[in-house]
Amino acid sequence: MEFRDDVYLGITGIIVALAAYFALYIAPAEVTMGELVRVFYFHLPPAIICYLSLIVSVVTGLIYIRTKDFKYDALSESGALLGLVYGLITLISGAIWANATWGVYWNWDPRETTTLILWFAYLGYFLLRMSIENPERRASSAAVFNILAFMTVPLSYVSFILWPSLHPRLGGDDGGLGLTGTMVQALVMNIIGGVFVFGYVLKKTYDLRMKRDEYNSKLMEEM
Amino acid sequence: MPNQVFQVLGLYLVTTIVYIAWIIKSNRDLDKKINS
Repeated sequence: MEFRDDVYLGITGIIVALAAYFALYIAPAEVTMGELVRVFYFHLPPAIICYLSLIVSVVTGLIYIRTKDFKYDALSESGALLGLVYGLITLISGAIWANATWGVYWNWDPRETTTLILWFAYLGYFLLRMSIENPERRASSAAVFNILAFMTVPLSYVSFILWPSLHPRLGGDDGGLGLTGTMVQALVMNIIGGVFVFGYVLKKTYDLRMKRDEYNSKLMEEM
Repeated sequence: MPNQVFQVLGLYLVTTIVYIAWIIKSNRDLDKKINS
């Protein structure tokens, strides 16, 4: 059966809308954080999309090194671009939440700081790509740089375990977010919505990148 | 409901919708250029 972009996007829209409604109006307030816990339902999905995008980016970068097939370089670049976009959403939404709970937008918490380092590492990835004209050298250098930049992803993920941090964690013990029942359902629905969004934007970004290559090849042939 | 909840939801949804609109338009424009 043929893949229908518009049907997939419609289903994604419905899931995201239902998940948002559930998070806003069905899930109850949390014991310590109150209504502000609802920020978490919309802060976590972009963070997951960011991490998933960068995992796709580094894995396909490694496959490119092995195969020298440019479609993997295109997928790797697409993943890195989405990592930047959703990384920025995560940083800004985190700052909004921090201001509401800690009273400041930014306080160099380990999770904030390592995520910012992650974001700049992948900004560097694109600066590197822009600085190299030869397509093969660009793809190879970017794939190698990607391996180094990706080290910031697990660092960001475990940062609040490695260093003292105010960043909320799941689990009611030791001061974590005590999500129960419908709160967990709201979180899972929003994560599923985020994964559907990720699937769509990754495919379309990859399509665009491949079409750009095709168009540039067409121009070169005409010259 | 605190304003911050809607600010974060808006940031997530608006950025995603703008990105999807941009990517759909860019794909269509390139399709036209390739087929012209």
